[in-house]
Amino acid sequence: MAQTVSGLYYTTFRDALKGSGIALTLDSETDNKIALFNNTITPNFDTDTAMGAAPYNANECTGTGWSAGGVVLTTTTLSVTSGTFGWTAANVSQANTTLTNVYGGLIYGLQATTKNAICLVYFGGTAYSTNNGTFAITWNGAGIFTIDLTP
Amino acid sequence: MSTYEQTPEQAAYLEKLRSIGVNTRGKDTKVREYRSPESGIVRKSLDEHGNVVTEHSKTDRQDVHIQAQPVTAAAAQPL
Repeated sequence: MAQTVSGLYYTTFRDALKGSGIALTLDSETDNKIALFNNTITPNFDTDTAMGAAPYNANECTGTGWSAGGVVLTTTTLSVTSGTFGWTAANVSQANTTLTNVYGGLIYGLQATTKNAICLVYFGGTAYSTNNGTFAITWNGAGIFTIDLTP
Repeated sequence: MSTYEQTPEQAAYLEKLRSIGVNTRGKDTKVREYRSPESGIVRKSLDEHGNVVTEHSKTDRQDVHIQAQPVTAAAAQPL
């Protein structure tokens, strides 16, 4: 059981595309959050559905300065560059945190009663911990996620 | 052996930890240390994933800075 890779969640995008009641609001300033998880979870990008549903109903990394459920992503932006669709947000920087064994972050939406899983960002395989310090994430210039529409 | 005795291996490892610039986070980690009036010895460890862990000796504070790689997906190549 472990995190080994980043990925997008099929179920959320399928339901958004087929009009099953999921309206992703990726450009929202309030509706998208990132929660941190340790390495006990094993993501399944084909079948996992939401924050709060297995495996994201346990093993969340929380502590001083970082509450359960995580932090809101702001300054979200949708864009396209040379046929590649991208989504990004302002970098995350949370001061005075004490967190243990962080391996990755689940980004999920608050648009529906279920907190639809959008993507998991895997931090590389090291257990990261803070002690009364800043936990920061700088997103890649290409975006949090990209979809190459014209490969 | 009493509780406070060390094996030769433990003693050698502790001695390495006391030295400057020892890499405790893996072979591909780059460590830089400097002194700061506020933080004492500051140790910045850049690991193979591009992420940085900063330890402050005086305050025992530890920061983490993740350099996230993009989650990428691509449509299939046309035939």
